[in-house]
Amino acid sequence: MKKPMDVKVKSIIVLTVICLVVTALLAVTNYFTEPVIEAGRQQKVQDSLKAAIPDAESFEELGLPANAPGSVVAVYRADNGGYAVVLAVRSSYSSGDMGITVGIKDGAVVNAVLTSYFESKDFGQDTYPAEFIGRTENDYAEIDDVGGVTYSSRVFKGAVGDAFTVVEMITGGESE
Amino acid sequence: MKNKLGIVLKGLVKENPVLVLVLGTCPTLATSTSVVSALAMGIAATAVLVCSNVCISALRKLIPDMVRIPCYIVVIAGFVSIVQMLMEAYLPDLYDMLGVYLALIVVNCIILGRAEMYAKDNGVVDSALDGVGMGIGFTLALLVMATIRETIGAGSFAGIELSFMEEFKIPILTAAPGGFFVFGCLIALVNHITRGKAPVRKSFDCESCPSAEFCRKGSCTAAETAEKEGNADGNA
Repeated sequence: MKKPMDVKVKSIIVLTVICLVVTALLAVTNYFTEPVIEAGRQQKVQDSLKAAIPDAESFEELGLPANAPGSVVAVYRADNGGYAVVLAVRSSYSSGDMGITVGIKDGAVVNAVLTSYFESKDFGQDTYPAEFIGRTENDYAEIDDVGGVTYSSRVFKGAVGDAFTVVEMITGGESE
Repeated sequence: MKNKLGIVLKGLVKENPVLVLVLGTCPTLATSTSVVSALAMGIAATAVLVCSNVCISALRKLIPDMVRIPCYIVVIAGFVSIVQMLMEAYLPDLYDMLGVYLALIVVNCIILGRAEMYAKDNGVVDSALDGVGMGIGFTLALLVMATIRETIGAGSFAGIELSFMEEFKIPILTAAPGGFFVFGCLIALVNHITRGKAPVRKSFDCESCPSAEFCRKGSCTAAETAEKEGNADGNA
């Protein structure tokens, strides 16, 4: 009969070895899939720029202002004078970022697109983002928060506010 | 050969993990709103089930009882993460569609249940076949539920609009109450088909507890003693 200490040592060794082997397998899988996943994410961002400002043909990435809101990932200037702001925001209860791209032209939202949200099943099938179309910095906050969507509408609204803020910083408050 | 086929077939109806063993109810209700997401969830869970069953069966003599469950969870979580990464890389639309439910396969009772009920006591080939059978059973149950819910609830099949269903849609079937209703009806149907021959779950006593083998102390021993005394009194 094995001594209790032998069993404990064996348990620790077996569990540790299994953890190491699984970690190695994950590392190998990550090595091969990571570039593909990253390329897919970039493609999604590019597609979202086009969806945010459908009239534009090309986009030029701008540098972020020093005191830009933390949720802003990148800002692009479209060839038709509009701006597409890429944001990553997170609610207090979620485990992942919500990717949002907001298109702003002439001081109003052209389109707001939800590009990624890990916790949302039926992703992108709701109509909440469309409520922001045509809203300006002065009236976007009037849109009601809603329950029943699978992501935080309050956080989404905050992201639109951040988009207005960063565009105002870049244009210096002039009508863009 | 007949035995091997029996291992696979039992998961389809007689021991269907969803409709007879009533395991994995959460992903079943959540992903059966559309046929495509149900099929994707079924295939992903089957892949994890087969791989984890094979792995756990191969390691069953090496893993001490004390760390059995943590080892199973690490193995299952590893395979789920691999499936998740592959799906995000090569099937991004399905990955977005399944959302958090893909990661939740880790805690799907079917996977851990089969590891505990079958793979830890049987050989690699039998465990793989059990995984295939249970996986197909899970996928079939999801597909049947999703077909009913999407066709009658949303008037479409696999995202294709069915114009003849436009007038007869029952939208509540796509919501949670409708999901439970369809789930209950299917369980009743399978129960009727198997005429009560499906395995009956043991009562909730100490013996049916997964930890009974190495626990046997405290309340477990007290309950057994009381039961034996009761039997002795009865016999007397």
